[in-house]
Amino acid sequence: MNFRQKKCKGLTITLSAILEGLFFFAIIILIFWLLFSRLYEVHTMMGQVAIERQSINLANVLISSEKLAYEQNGKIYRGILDAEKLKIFTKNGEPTEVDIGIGYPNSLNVVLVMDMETCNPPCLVQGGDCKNSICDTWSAILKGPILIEGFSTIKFISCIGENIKLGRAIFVWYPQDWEKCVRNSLPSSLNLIFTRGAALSYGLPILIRYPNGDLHLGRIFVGVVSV
Amino acid sequence: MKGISLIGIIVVILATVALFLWVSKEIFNFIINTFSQASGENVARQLSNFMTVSGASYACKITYIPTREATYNIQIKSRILKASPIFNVPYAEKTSGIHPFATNFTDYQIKDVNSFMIIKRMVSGEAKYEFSAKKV
Repeated sequence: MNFRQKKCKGLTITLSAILEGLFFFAIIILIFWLLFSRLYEVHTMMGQVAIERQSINLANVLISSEKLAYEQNGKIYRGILDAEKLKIFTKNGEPTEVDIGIGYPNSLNVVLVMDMETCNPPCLVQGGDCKNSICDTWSAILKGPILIEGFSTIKFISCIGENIKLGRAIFVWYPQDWEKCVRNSLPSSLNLIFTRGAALSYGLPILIRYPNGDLHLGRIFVGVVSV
Repeated sequence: MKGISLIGIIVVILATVALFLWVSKEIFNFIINTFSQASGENVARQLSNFMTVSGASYACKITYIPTREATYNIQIKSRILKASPIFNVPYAEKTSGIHPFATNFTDYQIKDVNSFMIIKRMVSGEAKYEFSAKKV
């Protein structure tokens, strides 16, 4: 073997190595191309308690709404509900359906306002746990667009009514009663895809302003049951 | 010489695989970050929440641009918002996001937009809501 032959052999090995490398590189590019164009698709899933979030949002909208909040000289006092405006809700009784332009569609938006200074036995001293007290309440079911055929709000209201004792907002504390009532109000075909409802567990703190200027401590509870 | 060449090939293969894994991780992270912000599901969820909480203020103006790389077809009907993304890349999820909102926006439909504006104002003591969108 002479010097020239040795030189050629080295060149052949280098060329072959380069070709192998290019081939390998091409395979990787092909794998990437196949992966992103044919096999791979990004799916996003977000974990959150959507219904609870909807309840909180709705409660925040209600305590600022001109339909319920106290107004003076064109100013709306967020968090202070006007007892006069609350007359559109049912006092100490079965909630009625009310349309104030607020409420989720295909849902039962149950709202309950509780005056905690009228509770008997008094519950403010127990840290606001009014489960065993009878208090003044205003309740309503906010009407949103219902696009589901066969869904009966009236059935739901009468069912909830059976679970309410006068002046006692007991149904707020027992969402399982809601679930039962929603199931009774839905057509059987939809019962299987019913989304569980959630009550805004401890409500948002508010003040209730009476016409004589008195301010009472209270809470607003909002429950959204999505169907 | 043969042994050295084999070791060299193995080293090159290992280095390439390591590079591939590192690059893949970076690419996947980028894709997941981008699409978690820009997916139809996320845009529908964010918009419907903004539309609901706009009601909690006396007056407000919210501008939301989820991404400049993609656009959306938006449909608002009976207090339900549907966002259908238009992505140029094949690996992006094309599924529409559908979410309800609780305030009184009027029905609206627009195509190929990615900048959204939500306005709430009080007119003669009544709340008025406006939704508009454009492409940026």
